[in-house]
Amino acid sequence: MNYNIISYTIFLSLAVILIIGVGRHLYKNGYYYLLELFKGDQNYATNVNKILYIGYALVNVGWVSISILSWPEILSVQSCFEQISYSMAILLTVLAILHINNLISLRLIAKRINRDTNNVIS
Amino acid sequence: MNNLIVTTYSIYLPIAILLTFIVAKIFFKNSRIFMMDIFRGRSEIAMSTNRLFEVGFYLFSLGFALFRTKINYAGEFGKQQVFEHLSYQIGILTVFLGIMVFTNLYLLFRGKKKTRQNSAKHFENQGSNDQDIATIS
Repeated sequence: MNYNIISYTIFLSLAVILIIGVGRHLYKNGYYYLLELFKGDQNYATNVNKILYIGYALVNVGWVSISILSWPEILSVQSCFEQISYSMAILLTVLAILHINNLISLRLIAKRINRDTNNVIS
Repeated sequence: MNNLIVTTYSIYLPIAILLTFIVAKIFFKNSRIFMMDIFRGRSEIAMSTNRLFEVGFYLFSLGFALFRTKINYAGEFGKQQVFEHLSYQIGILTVFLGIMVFTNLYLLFRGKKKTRQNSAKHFENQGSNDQDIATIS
């Protein structure tokens, strides 16, 4: 058994678990934002939430498995650990940046909705 | 005839087809509500439009998946290369499916917005007609 194959298996399973786990949290907590966005229409919020979740999972898992092709040759247990932790670090950073980006855009959308409702009232 | 590239193909193709079908099933189960809104509750035409979109999605994604099947690798193709290329190909397909899902979602939102604008205009016209009728009578 080659060290590369072992580290691919470990990395891919860790990454998929991480992506699905983070996605579940966002799925549960983002529902209320969507409910706000669709003015309390529960059907729309549930369906759009599912579509967003699946899109998020697909793009992230795909990107992670594309990144495997550029790994260097792994010759020892030490470099296996190093490579896995380096790749996980990149994945975590990207997920964090995406998350912050999402929060900022939710903030903008909430502002716009508030402005629209104020306009309607006035 | 024990070629590892052939093994990679025979693992890749079922996964690609299954993935496309699962994603399309989930997406088009959840897009029905948009279609009902766009066609203002006329369920027959909404469902058949949904079905047509689904077929288009299948054709496009499976076409892309088959298009990306061929592996160009010059060196010796070992077990490690099987892993690498398999995950690379599935990754490309997955990102493509994700982009397709988001594009379709955007189209659905646009359709919904257009419908709402049109119906607003429709109501305005109706309102002015009513007024005209009222003034005439």
